[in-house]
Amino acid sequence: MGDCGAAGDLTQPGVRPRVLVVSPLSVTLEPITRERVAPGDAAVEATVVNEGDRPDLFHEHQVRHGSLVLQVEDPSGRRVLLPPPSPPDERDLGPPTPLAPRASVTLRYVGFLDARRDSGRYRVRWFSRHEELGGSPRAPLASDWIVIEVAHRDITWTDRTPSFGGPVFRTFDSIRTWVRRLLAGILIWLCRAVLEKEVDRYITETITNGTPSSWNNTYAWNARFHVRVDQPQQRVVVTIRIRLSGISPSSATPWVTTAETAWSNRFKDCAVLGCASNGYPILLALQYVTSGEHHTVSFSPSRTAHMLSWGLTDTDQAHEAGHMLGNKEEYFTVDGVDYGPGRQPGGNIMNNPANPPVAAHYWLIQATVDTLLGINYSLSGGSTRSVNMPCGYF
Amino acid sequence: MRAEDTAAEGVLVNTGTEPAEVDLVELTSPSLALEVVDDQGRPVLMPPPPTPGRPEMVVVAPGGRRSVAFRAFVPPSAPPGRYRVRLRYGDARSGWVDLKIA
Repeated sequence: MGDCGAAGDLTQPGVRPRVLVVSPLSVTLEPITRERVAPGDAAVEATVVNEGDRPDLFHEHQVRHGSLVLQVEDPSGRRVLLPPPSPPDERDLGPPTPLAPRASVTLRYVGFLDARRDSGRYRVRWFSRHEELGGSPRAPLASDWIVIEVAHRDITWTDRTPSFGGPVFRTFDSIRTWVRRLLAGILIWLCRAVLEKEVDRYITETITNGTPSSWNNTYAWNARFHVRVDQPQQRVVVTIRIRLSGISPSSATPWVTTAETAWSNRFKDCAVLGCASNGYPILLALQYVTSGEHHTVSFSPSRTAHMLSWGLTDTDQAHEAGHMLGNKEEYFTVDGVDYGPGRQPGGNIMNNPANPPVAAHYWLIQATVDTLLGINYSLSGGSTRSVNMPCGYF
Repeated sequence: MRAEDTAAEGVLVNTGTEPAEVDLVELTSPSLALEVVDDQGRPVLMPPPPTPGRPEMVVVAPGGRRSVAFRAFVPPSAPPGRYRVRLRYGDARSGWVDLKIA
């Protein structure tokens, strides 16, 4: 909020009356990763709310570029320069759209910190002076600062080392880490690395304007899966481990077919630094396990009832697997974004389970692959392509 | 009991004098039909609901009832503790039922 310096009564010399205008938008910022994160895994979620009683213009596509709206300070208080945003696409170049009163937009920013940054407490806030992004030159739209604790895996290990051997262990561990990184870098460079990572990301969605209104609520879940970047085989394999409840693996075979067909071999990751001339196709494997599961799915005797209760009389499991990969609904109004009714003939899988996904639905997979390869996510934005399109590296 | 062992039966009774149409999709999904709160009264967020757009309507005659079974309806992320759960359908709400997750 602030004053906008509008024209006023100038009849009295020396007096410059100004009209106070209160911005109807507010923004809050929260970390969405665990307490201590590797720098490449740092992630925050911003919520912009129109607290006024009239619609306010807001460019919800431009604000998705973290480099445009995030301010970051390192543990010494120095400004961290973020990488340049990806080139604007058609939606970025379009006009801002009205944000309805009391409506909100939730924005996720992932991987805005370079994976090689040092450990420590980083301060982050959402900040913009641009009118299309909710601020103004005199009254920027800004959140409070939040702190993100960044720690490399080796530093966490060293913290647990007995203090009497601290310096020795730290030196040894530091050398070991650098050797490991060097070897990993060589393997990646030679395109011979097999890199793996478990993903566990807390997701929420708030549905409004639902018809029927029973859908109006806030839902939450953890997107959990395993990513394997297999450079020798030139592919990315995403595995969701499911423990079944109330149904045998053989009876649940159709779910595997449905989910894997929907998500496999449709898109590829082109952020592979030239190791594959045509990128790495992304494959999904739905694996039934008896322990070590990412999710427990129970059998629903009728239709699929929600993300963790699947039926055998429909094929909506492909949509539910989309949630497990980090995607929200794309029907009704979700987090302030209006998608229209569910099951539209041309809707994507998160709107109509009978249809395929789009590239954006692989966002968390891509972010994970980028982290594994040491690439900044925002620099490589848009590196997920249809398998039928060339990667076009150069 | 563990969250995945929870089981409940919900009963919807038509107390009116006219037949009532009921959507089984809304009535059978725990995410849509159950409200779960912790011992502080805070709502427990449920997993994403089913995709709308394919209602499964049944008619409940005056004085008739429709029972639905719920299994594993407490999200696995819920920590051990006491919870309360009730059924909802449209504007109707049941009474609260206590349960304990170990």
